[in-house]
Amino acid sequence: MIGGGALSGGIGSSISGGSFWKGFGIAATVGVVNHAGGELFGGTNPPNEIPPSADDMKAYLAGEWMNGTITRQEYLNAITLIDDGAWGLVQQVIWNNKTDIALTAGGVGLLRILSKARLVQYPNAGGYGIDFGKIRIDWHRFRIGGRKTGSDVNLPHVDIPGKTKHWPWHQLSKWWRGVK
Amino acid sequence: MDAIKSILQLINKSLAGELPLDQLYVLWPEELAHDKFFDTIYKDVESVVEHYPAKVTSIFGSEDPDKYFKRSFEYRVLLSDKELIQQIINENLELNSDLLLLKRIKLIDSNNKSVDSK
Repeated sequence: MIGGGALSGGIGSSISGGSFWKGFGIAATVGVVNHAGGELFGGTNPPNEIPPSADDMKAYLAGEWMNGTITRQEYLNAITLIDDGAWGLVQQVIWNNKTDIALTAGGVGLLRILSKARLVQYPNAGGYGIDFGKIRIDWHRFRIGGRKTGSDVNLPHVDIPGKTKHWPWHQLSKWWRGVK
Repeated sequence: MDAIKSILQLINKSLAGELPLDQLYVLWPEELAHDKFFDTIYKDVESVVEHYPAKVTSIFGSEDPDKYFKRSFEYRVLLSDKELIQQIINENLELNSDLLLLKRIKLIDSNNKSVDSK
Protein backbone atom coordinates (compact mmCIF):
# COMPACT_ATOMS: atom_id res chain seq x y z
CA MET A 1 0.00 0.00 0.00
CA ILE A 2 2.80 2.36 0.95
CA GLY A 3 4.73 1.47 -2.21
CA GLY A 4 1.76 1.79 -4.57
CA GLY A 5 0.81 5.25 -3.35
CA ALA A 6 4.41 6.36 -3.30
CA LEU A 7 5.00 5.13 -6.84
CA SER A 8 2.04 7.07 -8.20
CA GLY A 9 3.14 10.09 -6.13
CA GLY A 10 6.60 9.92 -7.63
CA ILE A 11 5.21 9.63 -11.15
CA GLY A 12 2.77 12.50 -10.50
CA SER A 13 5.56 14.64 -9.16
CA SER A 14 7.91 13.95 -12.01
CA ILE A 15 5.13 14.63 -14.56
CA SER A 16 4.50 18.01 -12.96
CA GLY A 17 8.18 18.87 -13.23
CA GLY A 18 9.30 17.94 -9.70
CA SER A 19 11.79 15.36 -8.53
CA PHE A 20 10.53 11.82 -8.74
CA TRP A 21 12.15 10.81 -5.44
CA LYS A 22 10.75 13.79 -3.54
CA GLY A 23 7.27 13.01 -4.82
CA PHE A 24 7.83 9.41 -3.85
CA GLY A 25 8.83 10.48 -0.32
CA ILE A 26 5.77 12.70 0.17
CA ALA A 27 3.35 10.06 -1.03
CA ALA A 28 5.16 7.42 1.07
CA THR A 29 4.54 9.61 4.13
CA VAL A 30 0.82 9.56 3.51
CA GLY A 31 1.05 5.81 2.98
CA VAL A 32 2.99 5.39 6.25
CA VAL A 33 0.36 7.30 8.24
CA ASN A 34 -2.46 5.25 6.74
CA HIS A 35 -0.43 2.10 7.27
CA ALA A 36 0.21 3.05 10.93
CA GLY A 37 -3.51 3.51 11.49
CA GLY A 38 -4.22 0.14 9.92
CA GLU A 39 -1.50 -1.74 11.86
CA LEU A 40 -2.39 -0.28 15.23
CA PHE A 41 -6.12 -0.65 14.99
CA GLY A 42 -7.24 -3.62 13.05
CA GLY A 43 -4.77 -4.32 10.27
CA THR A 44 -6.57 -6.23 7.53
CA ASN A 45 -9.56 -6.86 9.84
CA PRO A 46 -12.54 -4.49 9.74
CA PRO A 47 -11.42 -1.11 11.09
CA ASN A 48 -11.78 -0.47 14.76
CA GLU A 49 -14.59 1.84 15.81
CA ILE A 50 -12.18 4.11 17.71
CA PRO A 51 -9.71 5.92 15.43
CA PRO A 52 -6.04 5.93 16.54
CA SER A 53 -4.97 8.98 18.53
CA ALA A 54 -2.26 11.31 17.24
CA ASP A 55 0.08 10.23 20.04
CA ASP A 56 -0.40 6.55 19.17
CA MET A 57 0.37 7.30 15.53
CA LYS A 58 3.49 9.28 16.51
CA ALA A 59 4.72 6.52 18.81
CA TYR A 60 4.23 3.93 16.08
CA LEU A 61 6.02 6.12 13.51
CA ALA A 62 8.93 6.69 15.92
CA GLY A 63 9.26 2.91 16.20
CA GLU A 64 9.19 2.52 12.42
CA TRP A 65 11.92 5.15 12.08
CA MET A 66 14.04 3.39 14.74
CA ASN A 67 13.57 0.06 12.92
CA GLY A 68 14.71 1.68 9.70
CA THR A 69 11.39 0.99 7.93
CA ILE A 70 10.99 4.70 7.15
CA THR A 71 13.56 7.45 6.72
CA ARG A 72 14.02 10.42 9.05
CA GLN A 73 12.53 12.74 6.41
CA GLU A 74 9.48 10.50 6.00
CA TYR A 75 9.07 10.38 9.79
CA LEU A 76 9.24 14.20 10.07
CA ASN A 77 6.83 14.64 7.16
CA ALA A 78 4.39 12.20 8.72
CA ILE A 79 4.54 14.04 12.08
CA THR A 80 3.85 17.33 10.28
CA LEU A 81 0.96 15.69 8.44
CA ILE A 82 -0.52 14.52 11.77
CA ASP A 83 0.05 17.87 13.58
CA ASP A 84 -0.61 20.42 10.83
CA GLY A 85 -2.58 18.54 8.17
CA ALA A 86 -1.88 18.29 4.44
CA TRP A 87 -1.31 22.05 3.94
CA GLY A 88 1.25 22.06 6.75
CA LEU A 89 3.11 19.22 5.04
CA VAL A 90 3.08 21.07 1.70
CA GLN A 91 4.47 24.20 3.41
CA GLN A 92 7.21 22.18 5.11
CA VAL A 93 8.25 20.47 1.87
CA ILE A 94 8.32 23.85 0.07
CA TRP A 95 10.37 25.40 2.89
CA ASN A 96 12.82 22.49 3.03
CA ASN A 97 13.37 22.71 -0.72
CA LYS A 98 13.26 26.50 -1.07
CA THR A 99 16.76 26.76 -2.55
CA ASP A 100 16.08 24.07 -5.16
CA ILE A 101 12.74 25.66 -6.03
CA ALA A 102 14.26 29.15 -6.37
CA LEU A 103 17.15 27.87 -8.47
CA THR A 104 14.81 25.90 -10.72
CA ALA A 105 12.47 28.88 -11.20
CA GLY A 106 15.43 31.19 -11.81
CA GLY A 107 16.98 28.71 -14.22
CA VAL A 108 13.76 28.29 -16.20
CA GLY A 109 13.33 32.09 -16.37
CA LEU A 110 16.92 32.59 -17.49
CA LEU A 111 16.58 29.86 -20.13
CA ARG A 112 13.42 31.51 -21.48
CA ILE A 113 15.16 34.88 -21.72
CA LEU A 114 18.28 33.36 -23.31
CA SER A 115 16.25 31.42 -25.88
CA LYS A 116 14.70 34.70 -27.08
CA ALA A 117 17.97 36.69 -27.08
CA ARG A 118 19.81 37.42 -30.32
CA LEU A 119 23.29 38.86 -30.62
CA VAL A 120 23.21 41.19 -33.62
CA GLN A 121 26.01 42.97 -35.47
CA TYR A 122 25.19 46.43 -36.91
CA PRO A 123 27.69 47.20 -39.69
CA ASN A 124 26.21 50.58 -40.66
CA ALA A 125 26.51 51.93 -37.13
CA GLY A 126 29.67 50.01 -36.20
CA GLY A 127 28.36 48.14 -33.18
CA TYR A 128 26.53 45.25 -31.62
CA GLY A 129 23.36 44.64 -29.67
CA ILE A 130 21.45 42.02 -27.75
CA ASP A 131 17.84 41.81 -28.82
CA PHE A 132 15.46 40.37 -26.22
CA GLY A 133 12.37 40.80 -28.39
CA LYS A 134 10.62 43.81 -26.93
CA ILE A 135 13.77 45.43 -25.55
CA ARG A 136 17.28 45.79 -26.93
CA ILE A 137 20.60 46.55 -25.29
CA ASP A 138 22.80 48.13 -27.96
CA TRP A 139 26.26 49.57 -28.25
CA HIS A 140 26.87 51.46 -31.49
CA ARG A 141 27.51 54.87 -32.94
CA PHE A 142 24.69 57.42 -32.98
CA ARG A 143 24.25 61.19 -33.02
CA ILE A 144 22.85 63.19 -30.14
CA GLY A 145 21.97 66.87 -30.03
CA GLY A 146 20.38 67.20 -33.48
CA ARG A 147 21.17 65.93 -36.96
CA LYS A 148 23.30 68.86 -38.16
CA THR A 149 24.65 70.34 -34.95
CA GLY A 150 24.87 67.21 -32.81
CA SER A 151 27.90 65.10 -32.06
CA ASP A 152 28.60 61.44 -32.68
CA VAL A 153 28.91 59.17 -29.68
CA ASN A 154 29.49 55.45 -29.25
CA LEU A 155 27.76 54.44 -26.04
CA PRO A 156 25.79 51.53 -24.63
CA HIS A 157 22.07 52.27 -24.52
CA VAL A 158 18.61 50.75 -24.34
CA ASP A 159 16.10 50.77 -27.19
CA ILE A 160 12.44 49.81 -26.95
CA PRO A 161 11.33 49.72 -30.60
CA GLY A 162 8.51 52.17 -31.22
CA LYS A 163 8.84 53.72 -27.76
CA THR A 164 12.34 54.68 -26.65
CA LYS A 165 15.53 55.31 -28.56
CA HIS A 166 19.11 55.65 -27.28
CA TRP A 167 18.04 55.66 -23.62
CA PRO A 168 19.22 57.46 -21.52
CA TRP A 169 21.53 59.61 -23.70
CA HIS A 170 18.88 61.10 -26.01
CA GLN A 171 16.66 61.98 -23.06
CA LEU A 172 19.57 63.49 -21.10
CA SER A 173 20.68 65.53 -24.11
CA LYS A 174 17.14 66.89 -24.63
CA TRP A 175 16.87 67.74 -20.93
CA TRP A 176 20.28 69.45 -21.04
CA ARG A 177 19.30 71.51 -24.11
CA GLY A 178 15.86 72.31 -22.69
CA VAL A 179 14.10 70.56 -25.60
CA LYS A 180 10.75 68.88 -24.94
CA MET B 1 9.05 67.18 -54.86
CA ASP B 2 12.72 66.45 -55.59
CA ALA B 3 13.42 66.40 -51.85
CA ILE B 4 10.64 63.85 -51.30
CA LYS B 5 11.97 61.72 -54.15
CA SER B 6 15.43 61.79 -52.59
CA ILE B 7 13.89 60.66 -49.28
CA LEU B 8 12.32 57.72 -51.12
CA GLN B 9 15.76 56.83 -52.49
CA LEU B 10 17.26 57.02 -49.01
CA ILE B 11 14.51 54.72 -47.69
CA ASN B 12 15.19 52.20 -50.47
CA LYS B 13 18.93 52.29 -49.78
CA SER B 14 18.42 51.87 -46.04
CA LEU B 15 16.04 48.93 -46.52
CA ALA B 16 18.73 47.29 -48.67
CA GLY B 17 21.35 47.96 -46.00
CA GLU B 18 23.33 50.17 -48.38
CA LEU B 19 23.18 53.45 -46.48
CA PRO B 20 25.92 54.19 -43.92
CA LEU B 21 24.96 56.39 -40.98
CA ASP B 22 27.28 59.26 -42.02
CA GLN B 23 25.70 59.44 -45.46
CA LEU B 24 22.24 59.67 -43.96
CA TYR B 25 23.24 62.74 -41.93
CA VAL B 26 24.66 64.43 -45.04
CA LEU B 27 22.12 63.38 -47.67
CA TRP B 28 18.88 64.07 -45.78
CA PRO B 29 17.26 67.08 -47.52
CA GLU B 30 17.66 70.17 -45.40
CA GLU B 31 14.48 71.85 -46.70
CA LEU B 32 12.34 69.21 -44.96
CA ALA B 33 14.39 69.12 -41.76
CA HIS B 34 11.91 71.14 -39.71
CA ASP B 35 8.75 69.36 -40.85
CA LYS B 36 7.18 67.18 -38.12
CA PHE B 37 6.14 64.43 -40.54
CA PHE B 38 9.49 64.22 -42.34
CA ASP B 39 11.33 64.40 -39.03
CA THR B 40 9.43 61.26 -37.95
CA ILE B 41 10.38 59.59 -41.24
CA TYR B 42 14.01 60.60 -40.63
CA LYS B 43 13.97 58.91 -37.22
CA ASP B 44 12.52 55.74 -38.78
CA VAL B 45 15.22 55.70 -41.48
CA GLU B 46 17.90 56.36 -38.84
CA SER B 47 16.63 53.40 -36.77
CA VAL B 48 16.79 51.06 -39.76
CA VAL B 49 20.29 52.25 -40.73
CA GLU B 50 21.55 51.82 -37.18
CA HIS B 51 20.00 48.38 -36.70
CA TYR B 52 20.44 46.82 -40.12
CA PRO B 53 21.84 43.38 -39.18
CA ALA B 54 24.90 41.72 -40.66
CA LYS B 55 25.20 38.75 -38.32
CA VAL B 56 22.55 37.32 -36.02
CA THR B 57 23.36 34.66 -33.44
CA SER B 58 21.24 32.99 -30.79
CA ILE B 59 21.93 30.13 -28.36
CA PHE B 60 20.60 27.81 -31.08
CA GLY B 61 23.18 29.00 -33.64
CA SER B 62 23.33 31.61 -36.37
CA GLU B 63 20.22 33.00 -38.04
CA ASP B 64 19.54 34.47 -41.47
CA PRO B 65 19.99 38.26 -40.97
CA ASP B 66 17.55 39.05 -43.79
CA LYS B 67 14.74 37.04 -42.19
CA TYR B 68 15.52 38.58 -38.81
CA PHE B 69 15.47 42.08 -40.33
CA LYS B 70 12.14 41.51 -42.09
CA ARG B 71 10.56 40.46 -38.80
CA SER B 72 11.78 43.60 -37.05
CA PHE B 73 9.57 46.47 -35.92
CA GLU B 74 11.84 49.01 -37.66
CA TYR B 75 11.55 47.26 -41.04
CA ARG B 76 7.75 47.09 -40.89
CA VAL B 77 7.45 50.75 -39.92
CA LEU B 78 9.78 51.93 -42.67
CA LEU B 79 7.94 49.81 -45.23
CA SER B 80 4.73 51.66 -44.28
CA ASP B 81 6.60 54.99 -44.50
CA LYS B 82 7.80 54.04 -47.98
CA GLU B 83 4.24 53.25 -49.05
CA LEU B 84 3.07 56.64 -47.80
CA ILE B 85 5.93 58.55 -49.46
CA GLN B 86 5.10 56.78 -52.72
CA GLN B 87 1.47 57.88 -52.32
CA ILE B 88 2.60 61.48 -51.74
CA ILE B 89 4.63 61.36 -54.96
CA ASN B 90 2.11 59.49 -57.13
CA GLU B 91 -1.13 61.06 -55.87
CA ASN B 92 0.20 64.53 -55.07
CA LEU B 93 -1.03 64.33 -51.49
CA GLU B 94 -1.28 67.58 -49.55
CA LEU B 95 1.85 68.12 -47.39
CA ASN B 96 -0.02 68.60 -44.14
CA SER B 97 2.19 67.18 -41.37
CA ASP B 98 -0.61 66.39 -38.92
CA LEU B 99 -2.73 64.64 -41.55
CA LEU B 100 0.26 62.72 -42.88
CA LEU B 101 1.27 61.62 -39.37
CA LEU B 102 -2.26 60.36 -38.79
CA LYS B 103 -2.22 58.54 -42.12
CA ARG B 104 1.15 57.01 -41.22
CA ILE B 105 -0.15 55.63 -37.91
CA LYS B 106 -3.21 54.13 -39.63
CA LEU B 107 -1.05 52.59 -42.34
CA ILE B 108 1.40 51.05 -39.85
CA ASP B 109 -1.53 49.70 -37.86
CA SER B 110 -3.26 48.12 -40.86
CA ASN B 111 0.03 46.68 -42.21
CA ASN B 112 0.80 45.18 -38.79
CA LYS B 113 -2.66 43.63 -38.64
CA SER B 114 -2.26 42.09 -42.10
CA VAL B 115 1.17 40.68 -41.13
CA ASP B 116 -0.23 39.29 -37.86
CA SER B 117 -3.17 37.63 -39.63
CA LYS B 118 -0.83 35.75 -42.06
